[in-house]
Amino acid sequence: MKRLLMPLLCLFLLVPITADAQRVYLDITSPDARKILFAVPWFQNSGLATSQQAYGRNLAVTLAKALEFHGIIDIASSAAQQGSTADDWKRLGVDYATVGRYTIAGDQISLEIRLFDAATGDMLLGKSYNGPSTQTDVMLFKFTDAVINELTGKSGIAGTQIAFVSQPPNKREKEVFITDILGRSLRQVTRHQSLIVSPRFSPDGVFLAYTSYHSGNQNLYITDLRQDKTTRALSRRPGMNLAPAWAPDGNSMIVTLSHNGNPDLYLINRSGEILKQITRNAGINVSPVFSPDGRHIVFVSDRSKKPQLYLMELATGNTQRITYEGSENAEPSWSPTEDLVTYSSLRGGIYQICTVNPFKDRSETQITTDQTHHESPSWSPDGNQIIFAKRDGAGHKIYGIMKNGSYQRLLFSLPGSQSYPRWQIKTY
Amino acid sequence: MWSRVRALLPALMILSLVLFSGCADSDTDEAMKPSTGDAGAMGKEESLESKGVGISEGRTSEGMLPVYFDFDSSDIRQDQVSRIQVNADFMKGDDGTVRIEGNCDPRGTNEYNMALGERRALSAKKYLVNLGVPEERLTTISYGEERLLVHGQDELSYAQNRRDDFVIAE
Repeated sequence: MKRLLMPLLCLFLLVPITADAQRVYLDITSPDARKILFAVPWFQNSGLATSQQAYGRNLAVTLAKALEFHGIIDIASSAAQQGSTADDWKRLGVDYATVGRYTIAGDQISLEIRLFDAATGDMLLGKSYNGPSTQTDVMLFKFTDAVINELTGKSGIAGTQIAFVSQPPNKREKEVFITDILGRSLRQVTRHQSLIVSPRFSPDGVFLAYTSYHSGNQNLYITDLRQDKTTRALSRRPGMNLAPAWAPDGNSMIVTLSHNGNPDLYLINRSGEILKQITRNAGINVSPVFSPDGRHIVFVSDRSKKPQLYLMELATGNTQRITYEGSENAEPSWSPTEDLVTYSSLRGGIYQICTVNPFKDRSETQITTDQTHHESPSWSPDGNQIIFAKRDGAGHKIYGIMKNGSYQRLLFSLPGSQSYPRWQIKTY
Repeated sequence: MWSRVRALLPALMILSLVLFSGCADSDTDEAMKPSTGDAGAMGKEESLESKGVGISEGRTSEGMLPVYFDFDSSDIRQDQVSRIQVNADFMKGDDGTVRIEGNCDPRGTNEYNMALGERRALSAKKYLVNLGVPEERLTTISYGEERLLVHGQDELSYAQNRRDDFVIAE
């Protein structure tokens, strides 16, 4: 009991156990790599009898789901209270185990969670979190991201945010929602009672740009996600104001406007003023995305008759077509960590998720094969996964998949239809 | 085969309008609900004469006609020219503003279709301006594949969704 009453100041305390410079991290990119097996036993509250441990079970279930979400971890199905001792770990054959304790006082919760190497019994990580119990998931997600960092050398993505457009059953309106990776905290961002399309996070995840029809024109809006009262039109030129690509510094964006008579790309600043016209009367130009260094964009154009992906060097305007397989290629998203663009490709009449390196060899790799439309792919902030809208009857549902094509799964079971998913870090 | 379908299109469209009109637009369902409470009681005095807000075809206002497009094209088809002429004549006899709403069939990706719908609306706008309709009386908006009129996965349904509507703006 005494152990649990750690000072309130030790929020996010890291116990430095592994300072080994020779450290070898797990390679999670290998397609045939075995998943890491974890034991995540119920969290314990030493002040409560075993029969009252439902809260501890829920904490373990959420932590297990957040770990599993990364696509590299399997959870050993273990008896509820088992898995906390070295004997349990050996019997279950796990690689790692988490051991969590909790106390609740009023509306405050304290968590103390440790990560153990099951083979050696060494504690690799120990953290404690204190705060309002409404923040419990946030604490578990922070621990998850620390565990992933411990295993792979890169932070996890449990603490990130996903935006999408959702249409309730039997309603015509579509609004933007934001959720955590598990769909546990669902937040409705827009309440325009209209049609909303193409949400786009700012690079820091603090602002969300989106296109809404509520004024009668298709206007581009931007809202500060740190509040939920106001929004502001950023571009309301007659016709299209659609699907901006945020520059990596967040100070400008490239957006499709049609006020001059053709859907072309324009560079605009954060006040909505046009700085430069990027494409000029060459058919449809839409869905731009910046390279991580901000020097190139990839966008969709039908200048060769069908929609295809084009690469443009912004300094020179030099433009090259980069996709040739599939009858149509559209909806690009550029990986935040490498030169790899994911997009939807029409193959045999079905939209499939593909990836292509826009610079080198340009081999177009198809990563989904099942015979259902896969649309609007978008990268995870760590560049390991792709989120997309998968056709489900008349509507769509949000799915995730590893970039090597493994671990495709439904992310959120929400009523109605969900589309236009976008994924970003959360810093607010 | 295709030319035969095309020849039959007007008749088939009328037929499918009858078939689909019940489920095409959820707004209609809302209007059918019986009103409850005071909002449904006695209203203000109004003129005996009312202007009907009718629909001709698709979602086009009465007096004008929608214009249909080929797959993945925003070119005005030769067989649609007479329909645009009807709309130009209608607008010349009036001084209101008309919103041209571009629509696509559900095939294709969302943002590309948004631009394709806009190109369809802009094509019709250009044509009307050439026929003498003042440009400032025309606005364009694209719904891409977001406001499907009919939901069938067949060529007849697709053809009805590839459409510009002409809507009298308030």
